[in-house]
Amino acid sequence: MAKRDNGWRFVIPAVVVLAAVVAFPFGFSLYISFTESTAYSIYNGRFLLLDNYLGLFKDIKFWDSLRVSSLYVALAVGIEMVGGFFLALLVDSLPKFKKLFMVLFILPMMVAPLVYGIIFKLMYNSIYGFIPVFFRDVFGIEITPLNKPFAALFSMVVVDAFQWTSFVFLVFFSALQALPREPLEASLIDGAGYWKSVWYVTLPLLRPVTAVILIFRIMDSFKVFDQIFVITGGGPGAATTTMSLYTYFLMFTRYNFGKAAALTIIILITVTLITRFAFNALYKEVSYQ
Amino acid sequence: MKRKRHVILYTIAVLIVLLANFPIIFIVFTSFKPLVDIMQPSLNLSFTPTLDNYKALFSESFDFGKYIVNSIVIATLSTVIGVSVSIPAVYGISRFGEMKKGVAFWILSIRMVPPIVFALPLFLILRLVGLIDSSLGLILVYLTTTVPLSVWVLNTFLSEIPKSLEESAMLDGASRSRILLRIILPLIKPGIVAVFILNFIFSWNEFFFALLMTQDKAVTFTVGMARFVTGYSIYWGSIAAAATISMVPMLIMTILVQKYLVRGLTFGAVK
Repeated sequence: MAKRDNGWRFVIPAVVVLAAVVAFPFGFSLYISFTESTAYSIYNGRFLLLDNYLGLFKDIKFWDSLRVSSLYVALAVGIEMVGGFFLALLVDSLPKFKKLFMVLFILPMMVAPLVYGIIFKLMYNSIYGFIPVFFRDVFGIEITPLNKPFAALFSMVVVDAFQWTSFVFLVFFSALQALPREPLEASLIDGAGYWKSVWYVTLPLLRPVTAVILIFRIMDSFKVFDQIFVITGGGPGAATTTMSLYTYFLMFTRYNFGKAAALTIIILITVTLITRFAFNALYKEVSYQ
Repeated sequence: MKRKRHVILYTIAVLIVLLANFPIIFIVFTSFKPLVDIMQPSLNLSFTPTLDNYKALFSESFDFGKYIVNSIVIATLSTVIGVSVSIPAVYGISRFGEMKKGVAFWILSIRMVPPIVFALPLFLILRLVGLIDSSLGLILVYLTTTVPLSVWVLNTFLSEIPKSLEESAMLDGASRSRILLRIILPLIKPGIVAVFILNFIFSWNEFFFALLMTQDKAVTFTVGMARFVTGYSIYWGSIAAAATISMVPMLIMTILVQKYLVRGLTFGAVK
């Protein structure tokens, strides 16, 4: 009767579920990454030790996909962080209807990324797509968003930015709402000017939240798949084949499960290292919370 | 002077709203355009609105109704199961200090892992147990996200409830389970609603897992739509109609949960 109720029984269902759908598969994948697992010997491939990993390091396509992913993440996250921040400042400075504008700005991120991909696939079409037609008829410039390697990658970044700037905006905006107003007002009264005050007062106060946003955006843009899969399928050539797409091709067009598993482990390590680095660089010097 | 500044600010804000939501506005308009007008290689803003695209979508050639039903069933069940196992879990985690750190951190770290890491082993395991192309298989797969998401968002709601409430109930001899059901649950109701909607939106919008784990019977609307645009002839009108139908409920839900969106999207890291 007086048995100490330590609450474990409440957690058990969730732990069992996660063990089954997360921990066990992860362990299984780790095992496969060390074996020669293909369509013919999925579960009992020859044990290879590190050959899958070493094979990847010698694989030009792997390095290409790493380069594509890194460029994509850097461009997309850069544009979204800057755009989302200024948007948050704008909406925050509106005297009325802040909430209404907030809701209007967050709509894009709630649409399925695949649907956004399909919308842009239509808008990018080189014959009747809205964007080439608009640039031709209004500015007299001929553009083909998906034909050249860098243009195609940048077009993918544009899709990402259209959808996820709203996330950066939302988190910055709610952080701004929660900030104490006095420091900024004091600075403005001292005659510092709006932009100077933002730079010296608001930005330092937003540092912790900036770290959080940055990490979420890096993590999420690294795993991009849906839009690219449906718009370019990784092309032209391998210009938009990110690490996620390359893994997909290894799995389902080449059935090289061992190598694909090794690649997912490398992706996991890469993302963890980058987010750790970003977090440490931004978070440590902040004493304000 | 000040008035003029406000007019400028609002004008800029409205223009950016239109630009930011342009893809959404564009596709809704497209869904009412006749196909000839969609494929017109010039800027034409005038067209006679038609419902033909919507009619075609539910005809036999598209089978969109089946995809939507699959999406509803899968999103609802993965959400219900995910939230149900998470409510007791989050109570256990938040009220019993010693294990909080370990379990909680493990569950959060799952969010950090790109889904592609789980995709391959889950595909192979489902294949082994014969659950490829079944709703149940995809529901289980979605638990990889709905459980961690629910635990973390509910945790932020639970931590706002003072412990003294429970302590007085315990003095009256109520058991932990009774406290959870009778005291905690009613207090975190808004949190449960928010988590429910956030999970539903996630499962509804998901494409990657669905692409791998379904072939025919259990195909969701995202996979169905991807098939519409990779075929030989692309019926943009009906695709736009499908996009509109799939989008509108999510936009309404977003407006309903906007207050809790930040903590939902950042796993409670920012409130």
